[in-house]
Amino acid sequence: MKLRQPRFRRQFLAIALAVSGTALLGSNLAYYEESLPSTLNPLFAESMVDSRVHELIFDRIYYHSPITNELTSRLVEGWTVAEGGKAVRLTLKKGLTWHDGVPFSSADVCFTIDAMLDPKTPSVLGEKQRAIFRGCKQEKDNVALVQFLRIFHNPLERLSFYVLPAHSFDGNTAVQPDHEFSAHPQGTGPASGARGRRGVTFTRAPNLHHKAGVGQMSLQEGQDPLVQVRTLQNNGVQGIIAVPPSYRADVSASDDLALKSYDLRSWWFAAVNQDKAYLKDKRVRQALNLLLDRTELREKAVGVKPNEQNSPCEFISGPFVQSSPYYNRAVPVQARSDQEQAESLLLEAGFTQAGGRWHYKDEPITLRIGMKASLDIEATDLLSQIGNQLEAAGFGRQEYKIGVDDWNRVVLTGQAQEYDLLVGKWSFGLVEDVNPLFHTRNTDGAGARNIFGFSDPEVDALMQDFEKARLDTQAQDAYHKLHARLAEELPYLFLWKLDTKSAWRSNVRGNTIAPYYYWTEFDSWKYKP
Amino acid sequence: MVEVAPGPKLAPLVQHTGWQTYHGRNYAGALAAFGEPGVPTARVHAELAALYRLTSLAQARAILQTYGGDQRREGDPPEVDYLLGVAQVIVGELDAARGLFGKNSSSTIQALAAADAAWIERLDRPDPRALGTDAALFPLPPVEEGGLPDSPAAPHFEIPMGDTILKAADPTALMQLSQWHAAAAEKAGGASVTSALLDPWRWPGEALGPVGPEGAEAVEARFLSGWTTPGDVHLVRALAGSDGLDLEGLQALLEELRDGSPYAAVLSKCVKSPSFEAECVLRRAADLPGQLEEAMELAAGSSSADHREFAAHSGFGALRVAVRAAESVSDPQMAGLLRLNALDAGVGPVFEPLFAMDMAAWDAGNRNPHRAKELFHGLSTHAPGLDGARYALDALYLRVSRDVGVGVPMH
Repeated sequence: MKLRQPRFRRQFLAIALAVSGTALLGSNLAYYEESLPSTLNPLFAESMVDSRVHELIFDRIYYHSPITNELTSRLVEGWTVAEGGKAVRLTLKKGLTWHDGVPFSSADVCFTIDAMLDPKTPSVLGEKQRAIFRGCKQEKDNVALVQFLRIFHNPLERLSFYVLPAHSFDGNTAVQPDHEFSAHPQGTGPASGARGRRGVTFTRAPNLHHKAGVGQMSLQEGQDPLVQVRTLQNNGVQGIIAVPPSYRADVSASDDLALKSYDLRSWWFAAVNQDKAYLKDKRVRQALNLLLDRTELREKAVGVKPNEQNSPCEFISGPFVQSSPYYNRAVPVQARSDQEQAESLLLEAGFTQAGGRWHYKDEPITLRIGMKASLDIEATDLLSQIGNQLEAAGFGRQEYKIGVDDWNRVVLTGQAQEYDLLVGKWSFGLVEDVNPLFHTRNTDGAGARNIFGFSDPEVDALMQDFEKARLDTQAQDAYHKLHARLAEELPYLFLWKLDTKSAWRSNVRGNTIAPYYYWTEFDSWKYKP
Repeated sequence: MVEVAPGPKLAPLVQHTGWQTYHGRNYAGALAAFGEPGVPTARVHAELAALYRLTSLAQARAILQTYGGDQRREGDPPEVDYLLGVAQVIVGELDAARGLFGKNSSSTIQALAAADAAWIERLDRPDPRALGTDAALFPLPPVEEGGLPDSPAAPHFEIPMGDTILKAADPTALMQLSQWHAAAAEKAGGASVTSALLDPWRWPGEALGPVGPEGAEAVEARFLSGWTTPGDVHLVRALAGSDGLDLEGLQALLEELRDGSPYAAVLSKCVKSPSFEAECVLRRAADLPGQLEEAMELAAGSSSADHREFAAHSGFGALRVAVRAAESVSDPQMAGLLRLNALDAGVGPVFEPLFAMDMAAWDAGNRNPHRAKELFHGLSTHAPGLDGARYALDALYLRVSRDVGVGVPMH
């Protein structure tokens, strides 16, 4: 067992390292991310860190301006409807190149679509796109005919995927996550990216459609939030992507720093492993839900006082944030614990209590609780706080922080069966498709992010209803019912949504932050040390 | 703002329960605490009038973006024409509204058919948006200072749509509530004060009210707000009535008002035809609170923790006025950029519900329901009846998000 260093000593060492490390960076722009990206290939993005990094290296065919929300393109000069509305003909801008100098062409657009459609490309995103696209034909070097499976009302909205270079894959559309492209990509975006062991370096990549104002930028993996904020204050880095609520007042108080809104829908959860005999009965999961005192957790881990106005952290009772039209407002949140009701449910489910500990079939229950390690930055000691509450209620507990690589490799692939509870966070853009989280896992790619293999025919049917919905109200009804069902079955204990705020030094100018994608307007960012 | 810096002037304000509750935007508490007619009560009513106007605008724009023009979809029920009609009235497109009302006179939803008929009648009036106390469909109590009425709970209509129901709220309800509070503000503080406070937030194309010299002179008209002087209020009124200015015109306006308005002084340094420089505005707006704090300290003879908080309003206020200036010269890119910066600046103690709802309305008009919905969600319980706008914003959100199509949860 490792001896724990006193907290202040760890922080001091980390600050010293961060500041001394910065001296080597010269005047480059540097910022703290939640973690390092797991892949630089956008087809295999797993985390928001991945998504943000991809926005720097690649171009999406169409994107929304973060300022006016206008749908626009840096790659396309013009478009027309074709095939009676079931296709669009894109005329690409001429003279654009990939970072290695190879000309960008319609072959790249068609290659990307073909790669997404190729069943041998193991991409969750590609899987989803197979319900949208029929194919793509390269009509000229700069003209691509993009074919859909049906007529869409606003077809350009469907073209918000990143374009990959055909030449990097020798035209092989069965793109694999372990291809060297995932570490050394070629893009057409404002910067080229190179991942090292401790960070990612982005270098300006001038192009006809990009003229970034920052020459070089380095992504560093964020550690202790205090270290991050102190390093920012000392100009050791110039930005932090996610500042925990408890540090926001410090940042606001400084004339040299500015808090910036980052529009992202994120909600937190504790997934429950129903394969464990003692968690199979939903009354046990309901009891665990009642044992969590979210108000206290929020206060201790996030720093939100009870009854605080305009709180950045709002409780949820299902898999949507409260402002979403999919959120079922008839399902109440569980803000406080209810020990009495929880005990009653546990006893009904066959649990017994002896020596202050809960037993199932005469065995004392110890819960193995895991949490994605980087969440500790935003909600300090959340894992311990959850453990404390469950222990106080009579459960043994063991806590584990799980690194990003293991989270991707083990948790997302449904192989984390040794855990009882896993604390995590999901983030969404405009599309709040939760089907990959709760659908029964199958070989067609459904339930691709179903952590503990939850399976419920009623839930599957509701998600089918959502996917097949012709009318908006049908989709809304399906997800309202899904919310209610999940709040009953509790594959997750739903915790809260937490606003994300970034902090940047005031001498970083023009730093418009795009919803979800963050770096869409990177060209306009400027930094004068 | 500087005028209230000295302790003897500041203390009665900061110690008054009315201002303390107003600071937390507890409107009911503030009205109860102020208690009697006067500028503070008028201020609260005028702010509520503006809040209802802006919410109805967000609602209207969401309806137009969901069902208007080429966004109409197969399966949308014919009753959405009525909603579109009211939305067109709110955005000032009365001819378009005329083409939409009357299509639902035989709707099986009787309440909607009746509302449709009422609007046909109103369109013949000189100003159809001036509903006054015409509250036949959504009855309200007589106008009374200190009141905070509600209207019938939304949804007002449940419209069959395939095998589901489209729930909708009538924007007329919010229009009526807005005008009820405008009338209450007039009763409490007079037409001039009401107009000065409401004019920056009127519906598109709505005529400004009469403002005499006393309009924003009373310190209670500006305390705890983004307006540092009466001149700032005159500036934003002038900008509200000056769509289609060119840069020379804007420059002239700012020069004319700069002596009485710190914001005009700030902006005038950044408008140099042919350019209006966003970076200049951001830099100077960031400097303004410090300058104001110094002026307050000088006026008071000593520094105070309150000075810093009051001064912080000015950085946000300057950006908010700059948004109006950029809109008046038809520069949506710059206006949008400044808006985003104002949104970041207007948090914590300087948070202003009116700007946040204005932003939500702007987002709805830009077909950006994501942030509009989030902003609205944070405000929807601030006053009775506001929540009705949720139905229109939800409808836009669903339509836009379903158009985008593909998204995968990310950890």
